[in-house]
Amino acid sequence: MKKYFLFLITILLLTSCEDIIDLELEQNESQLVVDAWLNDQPGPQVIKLRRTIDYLDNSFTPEVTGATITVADINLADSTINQIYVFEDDDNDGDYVWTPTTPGEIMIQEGKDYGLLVDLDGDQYVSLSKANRTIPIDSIGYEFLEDEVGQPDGIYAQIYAKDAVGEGDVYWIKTFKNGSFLNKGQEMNLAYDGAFGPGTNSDGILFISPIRFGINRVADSGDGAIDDGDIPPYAIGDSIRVEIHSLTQEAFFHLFQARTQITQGDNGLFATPINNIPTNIFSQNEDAKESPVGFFCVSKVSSAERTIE
Amino acid sequence: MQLKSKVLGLLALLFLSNFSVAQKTEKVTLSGYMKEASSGETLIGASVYVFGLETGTTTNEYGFYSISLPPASYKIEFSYLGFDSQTKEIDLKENTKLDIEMGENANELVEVVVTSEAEDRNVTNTEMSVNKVSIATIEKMPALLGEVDVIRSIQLLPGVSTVGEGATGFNVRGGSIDQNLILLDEAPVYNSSHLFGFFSVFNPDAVKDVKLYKGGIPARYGGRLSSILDVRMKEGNMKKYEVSGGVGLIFSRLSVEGPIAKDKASFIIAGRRSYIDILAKPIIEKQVGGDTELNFYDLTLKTNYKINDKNRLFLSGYLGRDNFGFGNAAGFNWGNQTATLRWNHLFSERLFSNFTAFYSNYDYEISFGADSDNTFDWSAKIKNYSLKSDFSYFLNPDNLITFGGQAVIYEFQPANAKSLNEGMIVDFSLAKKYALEAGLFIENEQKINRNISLQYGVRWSFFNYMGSGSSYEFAEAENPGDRRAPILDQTQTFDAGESIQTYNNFEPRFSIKYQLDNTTSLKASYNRTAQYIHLVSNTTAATPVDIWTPSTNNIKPQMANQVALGIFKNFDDNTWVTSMEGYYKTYKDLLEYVDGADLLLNEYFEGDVLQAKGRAYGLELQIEKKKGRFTGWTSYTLGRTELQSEGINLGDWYPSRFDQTHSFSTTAFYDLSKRWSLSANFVVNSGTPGTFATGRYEQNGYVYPHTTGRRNNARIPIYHRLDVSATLAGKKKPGKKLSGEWVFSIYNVYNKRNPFSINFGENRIRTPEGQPRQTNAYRFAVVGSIIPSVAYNFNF
Repeated sequence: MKKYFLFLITILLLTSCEDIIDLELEQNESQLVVDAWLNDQPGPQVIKLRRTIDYLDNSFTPEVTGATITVADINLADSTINQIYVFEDDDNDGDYVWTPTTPGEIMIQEGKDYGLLVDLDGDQYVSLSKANRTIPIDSIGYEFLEDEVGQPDGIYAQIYAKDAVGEGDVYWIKTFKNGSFLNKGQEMNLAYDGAFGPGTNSDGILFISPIRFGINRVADSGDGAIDDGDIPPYAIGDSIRVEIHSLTQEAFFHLFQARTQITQGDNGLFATPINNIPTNIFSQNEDAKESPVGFFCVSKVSSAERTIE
Repeated sequence: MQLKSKVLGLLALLFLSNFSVAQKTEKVTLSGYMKEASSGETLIGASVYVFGLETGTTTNEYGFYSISLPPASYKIEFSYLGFDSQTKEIDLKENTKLDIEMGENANELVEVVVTSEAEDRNVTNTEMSVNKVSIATIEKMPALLGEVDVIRSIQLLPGVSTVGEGATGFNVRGGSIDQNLILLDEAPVYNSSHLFGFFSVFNPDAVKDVKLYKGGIPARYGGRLSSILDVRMKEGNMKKYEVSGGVGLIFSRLSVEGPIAKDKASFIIAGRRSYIDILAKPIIEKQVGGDTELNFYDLTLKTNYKINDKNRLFLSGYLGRDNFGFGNAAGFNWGNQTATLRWNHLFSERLFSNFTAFYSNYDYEISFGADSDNTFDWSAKIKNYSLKSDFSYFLNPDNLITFGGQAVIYEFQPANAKSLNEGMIVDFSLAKKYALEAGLFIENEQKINRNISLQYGVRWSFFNYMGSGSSYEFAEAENPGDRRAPILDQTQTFDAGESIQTYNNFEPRFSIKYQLDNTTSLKASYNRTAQYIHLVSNTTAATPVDIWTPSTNNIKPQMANQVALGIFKNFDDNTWVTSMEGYYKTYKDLLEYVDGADLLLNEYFEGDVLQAKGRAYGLELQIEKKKGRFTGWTSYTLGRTELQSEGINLGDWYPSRFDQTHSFSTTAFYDLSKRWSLSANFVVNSGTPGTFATGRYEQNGYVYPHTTGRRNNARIPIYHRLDVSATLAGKKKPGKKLSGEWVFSIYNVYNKRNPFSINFGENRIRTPEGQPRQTNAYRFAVVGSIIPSVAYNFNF
């Protein structure tokens, strides 16, 4: 819908414009960042510790080393721990890695609760998440579509999947084109039951059309954009891989807000204000040195792949 | 509470003292209507002055005046700026009716006037914080794309601002746009804009009079916190047919008016349509493909019938729509409709009444379709019906008592949304909501002596949020700024008409004028206002898809108190009119939203609403030159508007989105010759606040903006703009009825890219995986270049 708004504005006011400007922004207060999104896929799992940087500082964020990170599979009912998984930063790059001890060992199991503990400079930072169910992907379809508002003609793909029965399932649909993750904010594809949000009577339905079509790349725009620049539209021979990650309600709203914030500048007249995206990482002690940002989420993943012929 | 009852007691006392005085002496009444001789159009605010008694009155919104005097012979002057005054000797023995027709002042160039009333009205009248702009003035101002516009014109007045070009509506003394009650012939207009905010919905050819109350709001108006914009439509020429119109770059306009029965009934019909879609067709076809619809139009209609001297009927209507359609792929349209039926009845020479029934509706529709099995249709609506009565009792020359009441029934349809999903219907519709708003008021305009006059009254307002519908309860938020989750098992359902929540408020209003000398006066006013319906919006500018909501069990009515003080002084025989006003306002329960609020298609959006308190204060200066070849005004406003809510900005006060520290504008007109006239606007404003990102971090490879948690922590750069226009009037040929004029205008003369907002985001070009993401600050300018235009207007 935003796409149409934007289009209306540009077409009706050929005079409106956007350009990059230099601004003196308020100094950033450097904060600890916990980037902990785990799933049930085979192989190692990674948690990253970083620090926030100035908004206009376009470099990699500084790593935080020397922490001890553990994830525990816990029984919330009686507060007992079933198993502890240790994440280690052997090469001191701020990426803390857990490697399966036996081949095929999977940490994240459906329906279980997981706790995160980050121990840094004597302070503990903790979080909780739950591995909810995901849903199978029925199929990936594609077809040739004529040009339409804001998008050229070409091959467009759709994901067919049906929301699980029972209100409140939330999913993050990630798309990889020829192995490259579609990583733009506008390409973040989220579903609450079969549609966009709570209270929409969309429980148990096939994903609605904008979500089904949400696995197509969004073209570059702005100065120097070439439509088929970095990731061109689908063409014969391309592979499409789609993953559905289950989320917690908290994680859904976190990503939902993150998407609004990342794409804030795309909405011209109707931009919503910048605000901080909620975190679920908390300090154990009140006088901890850090007030962390970031998120801990565990997901079940289903996936499907198809090559365009 | 105690203070409230004291205030009310005082008001009651004031009223009673007048009635007892009134009965003492026998008086007779002179009353009638004042009209324009050439068209029969009634004159609003024309003055009647009694020599010897040094007293007088003015005509009301319907052109009616009434003055009660002891029987005697009087010399009475009837005047209206731009018209020849008339002085009449009247031997007043019994109640007398006298209608006056005023002839246009022939020996002067058509004068540009801001107040078309008594020259010194701004000093002598009790009203303050009120601006009147005549349509003649609005028509002479340089306009965007040559389109004369009521709302863009009032934005040049002190205390009135906008967040930028393209923003819907206007802000008065720091208030939000939904705090303005915009009335078109007494019916409220819920969205005053065409094409988002570029043009307003009022067709200048059909507008007679525009009046903006920023403070000292009379008790007869209610329902909004910040201002009343009272737009009155022309009645239509009673004497002869008249056609006028114009051709511009955006719209073309045509209006026809004339008598149905001479001096008894007349009509006006005025329409406009944009033709950007026709002009831009080649571009659109290339970019979008054929079958595209892009237009907006409006139609204004009014007719009136004078049944006899005591009764007159008016029927007026408005219909406007913006349409955008892209084949089957997408469609979007919105518009207002209003209809008003009014009946003026004279119970006696001293008791004038008006009864109004109106209907008003605002709705929008959005539709998308991937194919015939996959569609999405969404519409929303606010509808209301109202009955209203106003009585004016002309007790004596020193007291004019008005009283009356109003009831409005609202129907809110926040979303009728249906989707066809691979042929299956999914219904996203939200429940309809209903409410009743009622008000009773009484007020008196009283002259205590030659120097002191008062206007005081009270409005009692009542609101009933009612069924059929459901009420929701929400859990306490963990932190004050968090979304509150609905407690679903506490949902209650209500039958049609059953009360879910009621509110009521007493709203005292008071103004006083103290005249220091013939050209100087001091004024003060106080008013309390309550607002029961709210526009829910958290975007930079309000959008046409924002929904209106009633106050509910979770959303309290918004309240405001305002005091204002002013000094008014005229110089050089009212050539220079100056004023200086200060105001201080406090607000309660303004609508704010939690971070990341989800306000559309959300049945439980009440859990995303926070209510804030606010304060606003400022100083407004205006200097106006009213006579001569060179006329115009300069206004300057120094202001501050701040909000405070537990959940926002760490609980501290923060500037509102509409806060503008300095706002300066100059509007000037110069008559070069009989045919050429020039005008210019110059505007400089402080940048409005916005929340700017300070830091960033990554999650899942995405870059998140981050702030210190401070709301509106920075300001966009200063805004300034110059517009000019030149009008060439056609040669007047004797015997020829057609008169025409060319209007050449340039908007944004020196091509300033004024930012509407500063946005934050990643490069518009994809960052390859594994490289640091690039983030930038973007300046978004709605008007990014100089906009010249030409228009031709005609009349015959």
